[in-house]
Amino acid sequence: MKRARLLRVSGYVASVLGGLTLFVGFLHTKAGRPLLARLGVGCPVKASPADVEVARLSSARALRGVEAAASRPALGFALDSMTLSDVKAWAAKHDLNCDELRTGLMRCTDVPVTAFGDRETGAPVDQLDFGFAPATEHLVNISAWRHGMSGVAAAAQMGSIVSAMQQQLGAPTRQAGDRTADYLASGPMHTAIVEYRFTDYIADVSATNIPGRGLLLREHYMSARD
Amino acid sequence: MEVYVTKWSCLTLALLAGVGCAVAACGSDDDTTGGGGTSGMAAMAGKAAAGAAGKGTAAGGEGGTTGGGAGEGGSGGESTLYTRLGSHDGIAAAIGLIVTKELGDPDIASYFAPNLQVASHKPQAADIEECFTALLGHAAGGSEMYPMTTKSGFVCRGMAEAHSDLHIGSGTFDHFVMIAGGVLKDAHVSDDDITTVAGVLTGTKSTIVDNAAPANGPCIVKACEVGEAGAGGAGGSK
Repeated sequence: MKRARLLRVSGYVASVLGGLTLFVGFLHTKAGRPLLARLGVGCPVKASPADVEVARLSSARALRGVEAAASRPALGFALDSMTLSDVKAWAAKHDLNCDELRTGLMRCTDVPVTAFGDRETGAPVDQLDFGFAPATEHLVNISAWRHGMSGVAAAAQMGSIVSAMQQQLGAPTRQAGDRTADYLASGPMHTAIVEYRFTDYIADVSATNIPGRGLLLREHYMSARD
Repeated sequence: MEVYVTKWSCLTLALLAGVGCAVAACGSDDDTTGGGGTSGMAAMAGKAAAGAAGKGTAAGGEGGTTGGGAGEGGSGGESTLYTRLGSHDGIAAAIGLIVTKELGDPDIASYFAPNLQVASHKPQAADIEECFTALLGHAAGGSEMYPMTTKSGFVCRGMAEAHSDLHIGSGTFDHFVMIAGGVLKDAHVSDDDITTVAGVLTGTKSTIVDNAAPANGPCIVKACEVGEAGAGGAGGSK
């Protein structure tokens, strides 16, 4: 009698546990995750390098132009063909301070412009980010940041970069703002931007006066190929 | 005894089914990333691009024709920042374009990527856009309320709460502001208005930036490995 009761109770407990388990399982399905989110619980999903690449590609597809680029200048690097190994070799050759922060992202700091070629002049790049497509390890994205520049230095650097790009690519697709030292230095958020948009290549060069940080100069070169 | 065995067999099956279901569901996110994430972003980018192309309505524009049209220094006597930015639709388009351009930066994209993975994860890119639009619209003098509930039912959070788990560094924050400023400049928003908008962003810096975090990303903290309740943008699940 006692045993039968124990079995019956065990059966009830098992049923309840089973039901709860099924419910928890359901919460982690595609249909159940909204409810899980409402309960304030996250389904553990890792943002992999592949996801960052998906985000980059969505950006590139939205921003790219309608004609192919005659060339794709990118600080001397070859987009879509150079690999992580190539960039590492370049960094080693110039004895640079670089780290692979995560798969698909390598960062170098305090890079002298001579590392980009003998003809380059100007201020060192404070932060140089290289993005690689995780599937191929091909270089697809470069961001070069210079921080805390004076108006004179930023205007000169930007002028030099834009001049070189114009020689290779012609007139910019879009540009806005005044690239003079006086304008850039004279107010917060004063910005000059030059953009090139092609089906296979996107490049932005911009300078912005960030309150408390001085002028930031950004060079961004990105493959726009699928 | 037979009943006992049957029930425990059911329990075992249920446990296996439940765990398997959970693992499969979470594990399947990578497979569905392209679908959910891409389509969501494509829709957003398309809207942003359309807004940017129509310079009259997107965040000001060159001699705009529909209420916005700030143009450089183009603020009229009766205009407000809100109308110069193109009112709700103009602000929404500009926010969409800002998010699109931010995703081109590998550092900043790492903070957004978890939100783009699966359509059921919160906040989605569209939620982030709506939250930012409401935040900026409210700050610009529009009728938008912030915090608010997005169309999908997501409740935007305060800046500090939404970003606390992300441990964003000051360098990443400044880069975000710079890219956003470039989008507005490119849309021919006047310097004064860009400064005002940037002030809205930089005014939140102290609540968003973790001074103990590295100045620059990428995001490598746990929150960036959680899609639904953690990462990204202007809001999170409540």
